[in-house]
Amino acid sequence: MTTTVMTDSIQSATRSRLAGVPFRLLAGIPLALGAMLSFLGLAYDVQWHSTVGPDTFFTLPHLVLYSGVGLAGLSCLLVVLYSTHTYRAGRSIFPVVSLSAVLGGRFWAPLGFVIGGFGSLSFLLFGLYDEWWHSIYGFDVTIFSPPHVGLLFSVLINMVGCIVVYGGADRNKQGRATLGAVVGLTAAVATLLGILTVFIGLLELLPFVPDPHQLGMALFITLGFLLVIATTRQPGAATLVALWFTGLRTVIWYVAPWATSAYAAYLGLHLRDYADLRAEVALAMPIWTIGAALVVDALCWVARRRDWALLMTVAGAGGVAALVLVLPQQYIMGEFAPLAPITPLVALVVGALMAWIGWNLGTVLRRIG
Amino acid sequence: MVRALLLALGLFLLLPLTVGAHGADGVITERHHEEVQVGPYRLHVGFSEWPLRAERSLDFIFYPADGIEGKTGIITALGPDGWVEREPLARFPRARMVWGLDVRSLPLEGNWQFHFVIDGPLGRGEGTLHTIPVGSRPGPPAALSWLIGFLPILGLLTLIVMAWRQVKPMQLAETYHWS
Repeated sequence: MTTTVMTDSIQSATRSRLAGVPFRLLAGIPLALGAMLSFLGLAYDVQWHSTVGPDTFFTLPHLVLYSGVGLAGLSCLLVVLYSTHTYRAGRSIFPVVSLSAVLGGRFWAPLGFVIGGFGSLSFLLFGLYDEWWHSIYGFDVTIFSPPHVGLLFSVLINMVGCIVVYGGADRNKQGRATLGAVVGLTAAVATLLGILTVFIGLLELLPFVPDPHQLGMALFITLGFLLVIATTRQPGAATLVALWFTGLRTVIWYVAPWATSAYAAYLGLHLRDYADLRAEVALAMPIWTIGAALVVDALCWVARRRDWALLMTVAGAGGVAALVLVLPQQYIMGEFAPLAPITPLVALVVGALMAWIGWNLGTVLRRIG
Repeated sequence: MVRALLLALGLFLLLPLTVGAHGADGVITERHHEEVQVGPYRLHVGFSEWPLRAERSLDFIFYPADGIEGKTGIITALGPDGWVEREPLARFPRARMVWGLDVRSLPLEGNWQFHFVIDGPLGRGEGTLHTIPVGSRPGPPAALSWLIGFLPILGLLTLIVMAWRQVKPMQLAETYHWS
């Protein structure tokens, strides 16, 4: 059980002594790197399965994936333990207002690290579930098995923890996030959006959703853009998310096929006949995010300067962004697959709604982080 | 102590560079096989598990009596509910002298069929393995398995709803102002 404590004493005295850099920004770095590494490991693993195949637990892609989750989990654990220690000693390393009580006050730490830690713990438990699953159903046939879905959602929780860490971190006197917080938050949101591409296909289970993959990604990216703008109140935040996202896509595009071929050659394995050597996860990541982000950032910037009505601007920017994101996805997986006629309209309307939800979640993040 | 830990960590990191090599010369344990006449070709169809169970993965291998050299083929899996999946016959990753499907499952209980088309020096041939019985899905009920898999996201959504209800963002002035 987690309870946010809202006492506001000691705040000024608890800034880090590390040359004025808030400790929280630094402590979040291994969590962010771990989250990013786990996403890259997952993309590598998907490529390995589709291009080469033979599966044991001890493969290099699994090592990258598990190292990422392990790094994130261990950093959360250390932060929670150290935070509890300093809190009990009356010299909390974090502002006391930002601490949450865990397990009835046995531990005290910023909420983001608690969430991130639970994500890693959950990943470990679902890893065991997956091993048991293999004993009954054999090795993996599909990425969408119940334990895999649990593992993917656990990584997602890891990333949400990272978002909460940076969402509530460090603001200047105007209430805007500092550069460090903006960089951390945008990286975490981009990584989360990246991993969503892997299991957005679950939306296909819902009836009446046209083009679930394309529409799902457009809507969640739109939500992410407005969430970071609302949280940071900094111009260019959405574009920075898109740059991180495109950067991750580029790394996967070039590295995943190469690393797969190199590892297979090292083990003396052959690539499958008819294998598609293009990076599968990168192909599923929308390529026009920067264009959509620039539209959103520009609209919000002009609206702020001219004091346009916020609700209408956010909704309008969201609708346009979702449309800009969904239309180029007719070229999904490198092939032309026209969208259903209703999809652009749905993107426009639901994009506006998702933008408003994202904006409100930004407010929530500023308060709970 | 520190040296022992570093050694253990080093060994763990090196494992993927050694253990995975088993895949290179992996031998398929064939527990059952059938013979199918595909035009002029006598095709061997091997199964690494028998009897088959729905959703449980196994390896399949296929090879004509005189080998796969100079031949191409297409396999079509036909499910009991009308499921049709067609793909070219590819070499088995761990035994490239034969065709095969590695780590595949047949998702439905009932009778499956494999239809083959082979092109080779003796011309084109077609043939079907008409009876591949697949038993019930093993393990716990599917709904329970999926519910467990969705627990983390249900927990996360609960947390988000709780945070939203605590903050009530739509009632806060800062939500409606640019700065």
